[in-house]
Amino acid sequence: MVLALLALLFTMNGMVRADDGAVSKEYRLKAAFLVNFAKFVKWPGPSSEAGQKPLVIGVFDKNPFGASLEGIARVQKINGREIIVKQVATVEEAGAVNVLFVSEADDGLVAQTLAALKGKAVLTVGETDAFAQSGGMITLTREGDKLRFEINAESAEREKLVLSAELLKLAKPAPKQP
Amino acid sequence: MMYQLKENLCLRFSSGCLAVLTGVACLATATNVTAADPAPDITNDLASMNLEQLMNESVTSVSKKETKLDQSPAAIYVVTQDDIRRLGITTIPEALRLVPGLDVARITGNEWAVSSRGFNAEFAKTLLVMIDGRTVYTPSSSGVYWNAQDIVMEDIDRIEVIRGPGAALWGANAVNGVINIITKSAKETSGAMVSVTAGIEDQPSTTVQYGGLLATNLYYRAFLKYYNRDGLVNAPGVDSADGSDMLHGGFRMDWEPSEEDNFTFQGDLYSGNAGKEVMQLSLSPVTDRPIDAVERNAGGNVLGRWTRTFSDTASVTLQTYYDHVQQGSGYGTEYGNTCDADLKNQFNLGTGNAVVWGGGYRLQDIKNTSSFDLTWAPERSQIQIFNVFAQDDITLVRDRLHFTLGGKIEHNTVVGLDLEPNVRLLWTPTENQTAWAALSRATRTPSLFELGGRLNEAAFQAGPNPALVSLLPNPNLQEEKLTAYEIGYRVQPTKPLSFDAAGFYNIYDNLSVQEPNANQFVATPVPAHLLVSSTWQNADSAETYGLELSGQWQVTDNWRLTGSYTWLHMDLDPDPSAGANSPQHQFQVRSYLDLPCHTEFNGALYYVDQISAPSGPGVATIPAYFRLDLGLTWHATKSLEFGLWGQNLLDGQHPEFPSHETQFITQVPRGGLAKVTWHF
Repeated sequence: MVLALLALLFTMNGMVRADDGAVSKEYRLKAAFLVNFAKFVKWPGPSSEAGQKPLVIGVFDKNPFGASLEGIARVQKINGREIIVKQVATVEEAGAVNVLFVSEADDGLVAQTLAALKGKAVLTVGETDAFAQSGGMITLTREGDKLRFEINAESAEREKLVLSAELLKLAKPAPKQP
Repeated sequence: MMYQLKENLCLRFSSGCLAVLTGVACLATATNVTAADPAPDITNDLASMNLEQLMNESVTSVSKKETKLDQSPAAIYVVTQDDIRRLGITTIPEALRLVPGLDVARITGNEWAVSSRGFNAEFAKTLLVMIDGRTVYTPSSSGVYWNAQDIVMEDIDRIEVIRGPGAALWGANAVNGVINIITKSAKETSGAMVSVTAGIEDQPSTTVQYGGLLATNLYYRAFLKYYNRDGLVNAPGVDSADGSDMLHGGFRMDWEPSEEDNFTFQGDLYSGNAGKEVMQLSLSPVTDRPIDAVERNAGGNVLGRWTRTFSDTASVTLQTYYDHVQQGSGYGTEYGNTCDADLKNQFNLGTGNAVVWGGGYRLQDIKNTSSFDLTWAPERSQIQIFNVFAQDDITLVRDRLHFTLGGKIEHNTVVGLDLEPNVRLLWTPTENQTAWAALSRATRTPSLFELGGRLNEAAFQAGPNPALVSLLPNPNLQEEKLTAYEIGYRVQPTKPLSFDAAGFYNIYDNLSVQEPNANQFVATPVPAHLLVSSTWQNADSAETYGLELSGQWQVTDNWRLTGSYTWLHMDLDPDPSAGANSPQHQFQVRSYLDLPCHTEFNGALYYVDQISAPSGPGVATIPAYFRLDLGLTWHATKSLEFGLWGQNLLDGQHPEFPSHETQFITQVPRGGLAKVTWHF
């Protein structure tokens, strides 16, 4: 009986594939934040038409989320809209999404990427100081082991994005830009 | 914390419809999740959270609490800070009333009987209780002095309760359950807090706390609390002498010098008085009358803990503490000193084994003072406990089938070597249901009282001579043994609805009971008298079985219902009723409703079946009772909260549990409570 159990145990173990939990909890959380942010934003243009189209979340260049962002997108809707997650490689593609995430791995490109998005009504979300200083709209930050976010309301207004009061209330006041 | 809750409320109301819609959308598509995500469970949980909840998630924690619990192969329940706050709960035992399957009964104003799966008593011998990793179970009487376990209720993060044996991890005396009371990190309680509770019983209870950052990554809090609780009633309008007060100060420091390291240093100092009625006996002249005694309860403790986290699955924890207790019983005083050191290490071995192992040493030096009523021989005892434990959680089928094998080897200077093994199987057939089964052995070490304490219970005149009724100790008493078979099932049929069921079949051997001796004439203590005595003997065995059902229903975004039902059957052999002391049926319903204007309306209804339990030298039957508590809280501003509660609203007063010391049964009256909490 014991031998049989052990044999079962070893064969089972052989079948189990290696744990590939490469995506840290931090990025799973950030993925959830990303989807949540979109719930509190009104994009410019006729909303009745927009209500039917899927909402596109773009991840610029390096994707730190693994499959977790898709995982959340699949089970969530934003104000009735389906969510599509798109890998974005160029600035032109980036202009065609509703929400764009720029990871810290792309810190070097952040200023020129954001500059190229002017007038495209893209909600930009990042995670570095450089991102915030280049006019990124929502910056995810760490406070101890919790995640917080700062909002650059001026940048959002310039793109005619309306951020709800609830979202602004939860945000950490952004340090004054010089 | 308070202001976050308030924020949460605002959010819910303004975007309530949106949230409900999204919730429905989630439901409709939830079944389409595929295995592309390496950790779909965690991601799914995160997907269902709102921003507030996400902001409270730790990026480093192993996994979300609820996720962990859902996958535990044991009957686990958690009382949260939210439960405590909403129901205006002021003591630890009253918070335990919320746990399905626990039997919580108030004996007097400052004494409670708390047990799991039967055998309730003031010192329910088989329930292990810890506060932040420090045991508060006393080997003197095998139980917990609830009136000395004060805590700042606002600082409680959660109370984790495991029903059934936890001996393989927690050691001896974790026979029928383990309770872990866990306070918040100092990091989560920065700022000042003042809370004042006043009511028919509390008059008033005040807590002042301040916390913040002491240096980089070093957080602290310090508090001072004073309560003065009135006694309950003996009969309508007659107050009983069981009031209590306590001054309690404490601190906690949490230091995180690096991502991996976490140091906690905390301590308490307290001193209080608790009134109770005891019998005063004498043989010349023959006296046996109740008197009002005041127990002095004081103590202090310091605890240090270091955790190094290597990864999501690997960590080492080193913990040590010192605890001093001075506890009055009305008949004498216990002075206890405990030193304890523990090591715990967990890691993954390959892909299929999650290993936890560790060990510990505890030294307890206990002195009890004697009186005519209660004599100790010896008065002083030293107990040393060494233990090593190991547990392996083996993945048989990834995300589907787990097998857990574990055990503890313990050497206790009272009873010698002890082995407490268990095996558990966890099956997760689909993402929304789990089933588990467990087989365990656990033991209960005899108490110092059973081994060496003589209690004179009654004195009377028997013809020409006086007579004394005594309970005699037995220095050769052995451990009580339990073999437990458990099964459980949890299901979440839809997102807002979840159920938990646990069943058990317990076989006890060597149960310690009072066996009557032949009456005899004895010369000591003088004068010569007739001794009517009984002695503790491992003479009983028992079979118990039961069922514990609970469910949660998030009816709407701002209304949550929780319910539970517990059924317990006990067969004791040879005496089918002795020591059962626990209700056959219990149920409760709780409702948490968030209203507009930052108010909440919360309520709890409890039903407890009739019990019979020792009352002085006899036995009393306590009738079944209902208890209804209703409360209204108002978050006036982000930092200011008002609460108003009516407690025990359905009757003027009712008894819950008799005292084993006197025949007078204290009753719990209808009560009211008001509370102001101010964070700034």
